[in-house]
Amino acid sequence: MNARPLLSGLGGIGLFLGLWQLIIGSGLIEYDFLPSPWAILGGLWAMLGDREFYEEALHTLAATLGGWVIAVVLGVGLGALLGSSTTCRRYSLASVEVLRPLPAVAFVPLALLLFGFSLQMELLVIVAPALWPSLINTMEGFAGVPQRLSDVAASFRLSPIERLLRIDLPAAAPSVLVGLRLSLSLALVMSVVAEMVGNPQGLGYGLVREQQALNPERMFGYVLVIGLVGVCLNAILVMASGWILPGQFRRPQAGWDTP
Amino acid sequence: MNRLLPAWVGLAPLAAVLVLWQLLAPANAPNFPPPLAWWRAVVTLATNGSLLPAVVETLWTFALGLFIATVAGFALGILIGTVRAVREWSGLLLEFLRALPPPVVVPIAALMMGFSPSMKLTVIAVTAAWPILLNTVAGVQAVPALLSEAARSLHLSWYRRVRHIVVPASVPALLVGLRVAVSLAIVITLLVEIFTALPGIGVLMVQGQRNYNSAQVFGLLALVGVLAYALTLMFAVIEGVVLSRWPPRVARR
Amino acid sequence: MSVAQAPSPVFALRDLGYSVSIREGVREILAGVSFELAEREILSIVGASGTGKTSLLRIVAGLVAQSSGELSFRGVPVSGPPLGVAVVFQDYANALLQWRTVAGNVLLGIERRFSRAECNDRVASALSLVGLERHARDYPWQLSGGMQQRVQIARALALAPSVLLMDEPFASLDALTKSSLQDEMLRLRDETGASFVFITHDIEEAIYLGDRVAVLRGRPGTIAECHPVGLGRERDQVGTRAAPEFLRLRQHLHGAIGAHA
Repeated sequence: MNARPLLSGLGGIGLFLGLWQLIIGSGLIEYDFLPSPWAILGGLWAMLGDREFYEEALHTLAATLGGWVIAVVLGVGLGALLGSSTTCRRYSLASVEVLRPLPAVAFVPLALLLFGFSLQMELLVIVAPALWPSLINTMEGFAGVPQRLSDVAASFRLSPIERLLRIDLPAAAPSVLVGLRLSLSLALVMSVVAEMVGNPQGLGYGLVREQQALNPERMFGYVLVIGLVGVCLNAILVMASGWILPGQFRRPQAGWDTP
Repeated sequence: MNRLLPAWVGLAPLAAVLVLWQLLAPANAPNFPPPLAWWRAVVTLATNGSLLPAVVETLWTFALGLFIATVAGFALGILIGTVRAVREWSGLLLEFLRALPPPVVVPIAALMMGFSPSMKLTVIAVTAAWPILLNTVAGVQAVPALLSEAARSLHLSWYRRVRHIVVPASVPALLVGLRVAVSLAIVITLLVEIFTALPGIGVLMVQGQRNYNSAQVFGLLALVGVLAYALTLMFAVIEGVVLSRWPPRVARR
Repeated sequence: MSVAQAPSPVFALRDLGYSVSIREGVREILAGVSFELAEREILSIVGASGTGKTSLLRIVAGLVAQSSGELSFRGVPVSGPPLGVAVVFQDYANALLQWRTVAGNVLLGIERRFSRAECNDRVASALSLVGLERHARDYPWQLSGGMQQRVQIARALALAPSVLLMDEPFASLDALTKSSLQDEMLRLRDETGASFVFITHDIEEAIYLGDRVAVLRGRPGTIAECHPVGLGRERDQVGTRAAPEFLRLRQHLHGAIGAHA
């Protein structure tokens, strides 16, 4: 790896923060609700002293991971079914295509109605959209298993289970892993949304609470923490993918984008 | 594109669920009202005059925000992609902002701008600009080096190289980003409406939820689904028309 | 008729060297390259892969600067692509603007420099020179490889260049298309009076097209030898390739390029 982009990248962040600090600190722009980076650091430091903050972070992580696991189990299962059977695809793909664009946040009122302010509400809001990337990518992975490999499986007289474990799953793995990663970033986004407008717990709620308390230092502190959680979750999955599929894993774009 | 215009038989499971729901659910089920009740609830909203203004408001802000996002995201993406120094200096910052869940922009904007229509527009434009910007940057970097050399040997000025080579060559990447931006912009529009109670479909959904009017909540959910599907379809058509000038290999990406 | 010795060369290279910095230090690509290109001449440069053929062409085209030595175009040192010099690259798919029509691609180098009428005339005549007048409104990706390469040649011709630099232009085409494009190129030279630097790894192509054949050899690459082709200006695919001079030169060059060394 070349060190130069990293150095200038750090320099860029430094320049950005420095300018921000200078503009706010010098009083060039007098604005109550835009604190300087230094003040945000202070807010973050104060937050780190609160027990509450750790409970919130833990809650958001648990909800994100829990929702992600449910979404992945459902998505990979259904995706494998749709991907390996042309008939299944034919008779349900249109339903998938109609349901998929349904905006995730529209589930918030429904989830609130059904479950009130609860973890179940949060999970519904997370699982409903986070399902799709896993489902679609798994389906495409399984549907894309080369005919030649299927012929190999047939000529070796593999049982369906053996076939699934030795041929289909490894062949589809790169695509499935991309789906898992996209589902995870979406799960984090949706848990923050659910906490912002629904279940009053977790980092999303903390963010909104500080906003409503007109406490910009801490609010930006929460923004920073949520961003770091996103970076870390993504990095862990990228690393795990590289570990599961050494060599053949193409580094995909990081981020929350749906495929 | 064919995936969005599927054979109608694929709708069978969805149709079956709705029909069974209608047949099996009692007419006054508190939490899971049957689909015809959804329809009646939406019709009620339409006749009392609250539906149309909300839909117009939501779609208008969505469209305007997406337009601003496209222009700004593409222009910035071309700049960052073309000028190496800008790309290197902004690289890490973009990497962090990319991983930041877009909804956090909502409370920031709420604090700094208050609950106003301009705040709603700003939030939509800023969040939807990201996927467009990032994809455009990637698109610019994927422009074949040979193309720039060919342009230089034809004595094209820097401006004309950007305008006639880099910009058109990045259009397929822009469209990939736009596809993500469309669905993101719908989500953010509704989120802002739910969060701030600024007029729109989101507000009607929250009202339905607060009044325990489950038929209204389901009905609006279905309506939003239909709108989102129509927008996706419309975008796919636009994409197909634009990409008809590109080789099929690029267009299918 | 023997090759005319023009008094002032179109291109002159003196002791030209080119190196790039890589992780392990500096790699020399070209060293001590000297040759001249005369008016209306086709100079073939033949060499095995890795001898710096493409680098040499990019330097002559003014796309990259040499590391040492001199390069001049009609007596003026080259800095940047000189006017009146056009380049045709091997990889036509990436050298053409796939989103512009054939006519749009040919127009790329001349629009804004001439009046609209003049541009239209030039596009039409360039397309008819390469036999693509009926495909002006098609997109490149709708055409075969040979036709796409013709688009690239037409784009170069629209500039009315006095020199065409060609980097293995026919290397990725099938044999039949290749030979018809070779004959077209000879015809174009007669009709336009341009000079050509023609880079190839194909020895027969180098002899068939060239008035002179230069051999690029070694790492770093250098012009090891240069032979006039005593075949006259009239060439034809069957007769020329069977001529004793052709066979003699081919046999000699096979040893000279050192491909199997």
